[in-house]
This record gives sequence, structure tokens and C-alpha cells, in this order.
Amino acid sequence: MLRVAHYINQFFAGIGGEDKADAPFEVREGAVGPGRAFAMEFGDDAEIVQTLVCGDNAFHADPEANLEAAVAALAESKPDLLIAGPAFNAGRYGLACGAIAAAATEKLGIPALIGLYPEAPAVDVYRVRTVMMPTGDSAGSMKDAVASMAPMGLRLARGEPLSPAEEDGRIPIGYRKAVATEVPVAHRAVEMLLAKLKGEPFESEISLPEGAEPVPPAPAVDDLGEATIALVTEGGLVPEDNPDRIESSSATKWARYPIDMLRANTDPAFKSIHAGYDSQWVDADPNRMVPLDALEALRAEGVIGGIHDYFYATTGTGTTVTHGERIGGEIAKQLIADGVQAVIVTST
Amino acid sequence: MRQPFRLDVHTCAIEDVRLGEATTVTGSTLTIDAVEIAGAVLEDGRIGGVEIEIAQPGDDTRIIGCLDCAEPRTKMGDGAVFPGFLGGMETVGNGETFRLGNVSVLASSRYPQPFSGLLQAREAVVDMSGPTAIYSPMSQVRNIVLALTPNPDIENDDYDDAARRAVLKVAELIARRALEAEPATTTTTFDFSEQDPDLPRVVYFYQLQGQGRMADTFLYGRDIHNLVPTIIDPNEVIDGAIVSGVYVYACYKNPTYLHQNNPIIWELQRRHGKDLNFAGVIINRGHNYTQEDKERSSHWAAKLAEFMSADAAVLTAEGGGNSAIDMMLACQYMEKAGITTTVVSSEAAGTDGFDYPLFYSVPEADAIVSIGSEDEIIPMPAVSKVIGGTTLLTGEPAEGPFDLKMYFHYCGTNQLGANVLQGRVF
Repeated sequence: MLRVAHYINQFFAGIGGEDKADAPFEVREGAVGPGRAFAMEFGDDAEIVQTLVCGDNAFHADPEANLEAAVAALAESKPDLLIAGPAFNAGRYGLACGAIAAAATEKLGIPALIGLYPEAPAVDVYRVRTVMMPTGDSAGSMKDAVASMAPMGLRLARGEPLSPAEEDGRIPIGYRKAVATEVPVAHRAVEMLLAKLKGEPFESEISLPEGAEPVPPAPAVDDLGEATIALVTEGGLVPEDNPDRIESSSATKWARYPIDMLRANTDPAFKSIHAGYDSQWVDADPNRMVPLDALEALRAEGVIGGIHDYFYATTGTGTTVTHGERIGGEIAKQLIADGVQAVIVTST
Repeated sequence: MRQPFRLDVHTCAIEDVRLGEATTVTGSTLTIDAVEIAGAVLEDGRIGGVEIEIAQPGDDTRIIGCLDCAEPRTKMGDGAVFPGFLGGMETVGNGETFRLGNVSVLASSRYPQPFSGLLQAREAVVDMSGPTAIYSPMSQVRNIVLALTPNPDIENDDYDDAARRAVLKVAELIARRALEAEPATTTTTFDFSEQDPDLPRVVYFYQLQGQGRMADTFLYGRDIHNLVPTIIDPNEVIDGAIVSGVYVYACYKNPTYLHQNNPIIWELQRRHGKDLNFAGVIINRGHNYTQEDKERSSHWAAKLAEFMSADAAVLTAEGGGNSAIDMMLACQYMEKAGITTTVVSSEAAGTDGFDYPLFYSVPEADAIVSIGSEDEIIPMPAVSKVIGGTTLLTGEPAEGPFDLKMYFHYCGTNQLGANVLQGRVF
């Protein structure tokens, strides 16, 4: 029989309502309150071995200490699953459920499940860190919540993998993953086309992005003749042994190299490790990717004040938005710290 | 009477492939004479050696270093199945064609010289059984593998041509030998000359990758670098007008086998006269380099679709970001011309799947079919047999276990939709 631990607040433990929200963390043996409904639903498959209880205010007064106590209790009872709530649309209770569920999984490797109303505050805070089933917005929907959470909980306790959120009836964690499907792509494409043509409902398998935030351009450079200009590229130009191991595609890294080293371009010579364009002309003359020659001519003419001592490189092909934003931010921070006034970014 | 737009495809469905004394078909069993096949391959002095191996669905076998594959086909009567490569220069798509169903001739090889930069043949893996078989559609097919070794004195480009011709030549030879045994066949007729005025007219926007060496597709034997959007009879595609030479990223690859068996064309053929009129195919080069070329090409494709009186279009791409932009722009201009579209797209949501999955999109692309993500990392189990070498290009032992990014799964997210994958939200 699988062993389940359960977390509830003071109200569901029968201690009292808002006036008892200071009730301290405690551990009880066996099922309490809604835990009994879970026990009924589990039947012979699982039992509630332990119930953790904490008042809503008490938990948030010292979350670290309460989490430590909860982790210690779970470490001792070693359950196959932690169920927290259901907390419906509750704010403090839902957040406490999220914190304890995340701690159980992250610190002890115990799978955890929360029941929450999809618009509850804890959903966006904890959806990536723990599994959630949707419930109604109040305790009036307890019966339905227990009925949908119990089978999902048993699957987690048995170590079974998740299915897509829609099939599980879960609140989405938010990541995408490929699954095998019986219906061929061509059939889906033509079915969707005919539905769209007839004005019937259809569901795109990939949603369009929400509007990207516009990036306001930086103010113009006051006096170019005094400005230090840096060269930045996503063209993958690196010393030929690629000492920083920047990836050829889907980059997660960037690096900077002395501009003198690029000017010498020998021992090491520079080459492009970018896997998204034909780099033979760049390898033959790196100025075609990082235009140091043109910049030096402008400096000689006095058009620009100076050239920054380093150039910056990463690979821009298949790079995720998350890494792209981080890489851009890190490079910008370094450039500002080095007193650079303007940047020429060459892309492929 | 000459029927220029009618193609009868006679299929002999194969359920087992064995090595034997003669290349022939008995019932649904195909026997391969390895000596005869090797002899045909080695007539080309650019190839140094060849091993003939069989890899069938359910075998505990991994194939590495996959290049092109083609289905055994031959013309009944006059004509060639891969004009521009075999036989004289002519068009295909009419008359009668014999095919061996569920069979592919697949080349596996490394190249004589090391590569650098983008345009190189990267790793390409098929697992024939187990949980990783779903990551290549070629695991569902009986593969006659030509494990080739190059003549070391020749250049990569020359060897590439030799390997491609070996696949096509052997595919035609096996089909010709099988046909001599006069096996039982079932017939599929491809003829779209009758159009029902009450049904919508659907065109297929069929993007082909033409980026450079190791990333080229061939149309009647020529690369497509100068291809502008062009109307082509679906029967020409089915009958071997398009041959693949795309090896840069295995998951995107549409090999010759999948052009011959293009799932979109076969689906539109199946529904022609029932739910829709199949109004034709617009082929187009993927990976136009400049914004101006992208705009030119996609506007032009939309114009052709209008010219064909299309009500709707299905769009597919081949390749990564550039190809996605080319396809999405075509979608946008077709929709603006009043043509309803669906788009088939792979995903790139990062290894953890949390990123936005499309490289590029247009607001008009509101009907997208997903074929899975190129970014996922798949744990590959140990297998008892590896065809095509003992180590991956990374140097890891090919028998496994190892982790392999989707990029390197042969046709894993092929954008013709031959795979079984679908990206879902977890």
C-alpha cells in the first residue's frame, strides 16, 4: 500500500477559522479532515500516514522554520506522495501548500500534488515547481476536488510519468514536450484546414505569441568623435580552438576576446563556429563578420573616438529567447561597466 | 490515348526482407542478392567499399551516419524513376510505376575529408525498436542499408554525389528485379484532372531546402538555388522528380523516400473528389538569404496560388529559422489574398521546453500543426547491433547508452509530417 502525507491548514484541521490562524505547525498521525475523504478515494491503494497542519498566519510568519519542520517530518515518514490542500482560491493557504509541496519534491524527491483554483495566487508562483490539479473556488467543491486529485496522486506516487496537461486534466506546468500520436500529421493538417475553411471551430497546436514588449532605442550618441565603440557579433567568431566552448547552435554562452588578438589574427587565427550560415568568407577574413578594418578607418578619420579593447561573440542560431535575453543583458552590463558609449552588432 | 496527368502506382507491399541468392520477391518477402547489389554500387570508383545490411522494424539495431534513402521504384514501360540521375532527362508523373512498399534503400557513411562550418553532414541516427523508435519515421520501414566507405582520394562533394547515385541506382535495380517476378500488386491512381466545382480547391505549398552543399534538394537532377515558386504536378513529386541531398541537421531532413511518399500529397490524393479538389503543388526554395528575396519569393508563391484559384493551402517547410520565415511569409500573403491556410511546423522551445516554440510567426498563422521539438534531448538505450560504424561523430560508442538531441534523429521532426510526434503542453 502506498504511503501518503497530507498538508492542511488550521481550518481544515478543525482547530478554527481566522481567529486560530496563528496555530503553530504540528504533525498528526493518520488522516485528518479532508484527508479522510482522500483515504476513502484511495481505497486499498494508499493510506494517509501523516497529516501536517499549520495556521495560515503562523506559516507565513516564519516560512523558513515551518518548511524546515515540514521537511524534517517528511524525511522521517518517507511517504510516496505529499498532497497539499486542496486550497481552492485561498491566498495564504495556497501559497503555504505550494511552498511545502515544492520543498518536499526539491529537498526530498517526494512527488507532490496541490489542488488549487486556476486563478489562485499560488498557481503562477508554484506551477513550475509542483504538480497542480484545478479545483472550484471554494470548499463547496471539495468532493470533486478529491475525486480528481486522488487518481493523479496515485500516479505520481507510483512514479508514473505525466501526460500532456490537457489529458491529465492538470493545471499546465508550462513546458512543451513531444509525445507520440496515432493521428498522422497530414490528416491533422487537412482536417484543420477544412474546419477553418468551413468556419468550424479548430484548435491550433501551437498558439501565436503574445505581443513582445517593444525595446525603446537608446538615445543617440552625443559626440561620436569622442565615443568609444565596441563590436559585438552573434556570428560565432572565436579563436580557432574555441577556448570558451561556445556552442555552434542553441548557444548558452558568450565570450569576449582582445581586439588586438583579432587584429593580429594569427596564433590563434579566428574562425566562425556558427552552424547557421556558410562561414567560409568569414574564416578567410574575419573583418567580414567583425568589421575592425572599417572601424579603424573611421577612427583614423576622426569620425569615432576609439575602439573598445574587446569584441564580444556568441552564436545566434536556434538560441532560445531566454538565453538570448540573458546573454544580451550580460554583455550590455559589461560594456556599460567598461565605459563603452555605442555598439555595432553584426548579425548573420 | 496519352494521359499526361494520370499516374498508376502499383504497390507490392513487403513484409520481410532477407539476404539470399537472388534479388527477387516471393509473396510479400523481398530477397536481396548482396553480391549483385554491391557490384552495382562499386561500379562507381568513387566508392571504396560497401556492406549490405538489413534493418527491420523491431530489430534491436541502431543505424548511424544516415545519408539519403529512397523507396525501390521502377517504371513499367518507358521512362526513368529519377530523371536527371538515372536514365535520360525527361519528366515523370504519368504512365505506370511499380513500387516496393515499406522498403527503403538507405545509405550510411562518413565523408572522406573533415568538414567545417555550417554545411556539413552531421550525425543522423535511427533506432529500429524500443522507446526511441518513435524518433525516426524510418524505424517503421524495412531498410536495406548500404554501409559505404569512400575511396579516400576523392573530395567530399564528389563522394556526396556518388553516395546519392548509389541509393537511387540500387533502389531502381531492386524494384526492377522484383518486378521481373511479377508479384501481386494493388494500384493507386493519381489523377487530379477532374475537379468538382462544389468542393474547395486546395494547393500544397511545398518548400524544398536549397542552401548549399550538404543542404541541397535536386529537381530533375539540378540544385534549386535559382528556383522561383513553380507549379508542379503532384504526380511528378510522387514519381521521383525530387531527390534529397540535405544532411545538415538530421531531424529536419526530408529524404528522397519521404518526397516519393510525401504524406501531405498522399493525404490530399486520398481526399481528392471527396472533401476537396487537389489543385496542385507550388514548390519553392527554402532559405532565401535576404529579406527582399524572402518577400519576392513568398509574394510570388501567393500569386501562383491565386492564379490556381486556390481556396486553401497546406504549407510545409524544410530547415530551421530561415525556412520558417520563408514559409510564414508565404502563409501571410496567401491569407491576405483570401486563401485559407494551415502550416506544419516543428518547435524550438529549448531543452527544457519552456521557451516560445516558434522561430518566427505571423498573425495570420492561426492554424498550426506541431511535429515536435528539435531541442529535446533523448536518452538512447544500449542496442546489440549498430550499422554504419562503431562511434558517433562525437566520439561516443554508438551502441550506447548516450543522450542525443533531436537534431540528430533522422527525420525526427521532418516537416512533411511523416513522424508520429506532436508537441504538447505539459
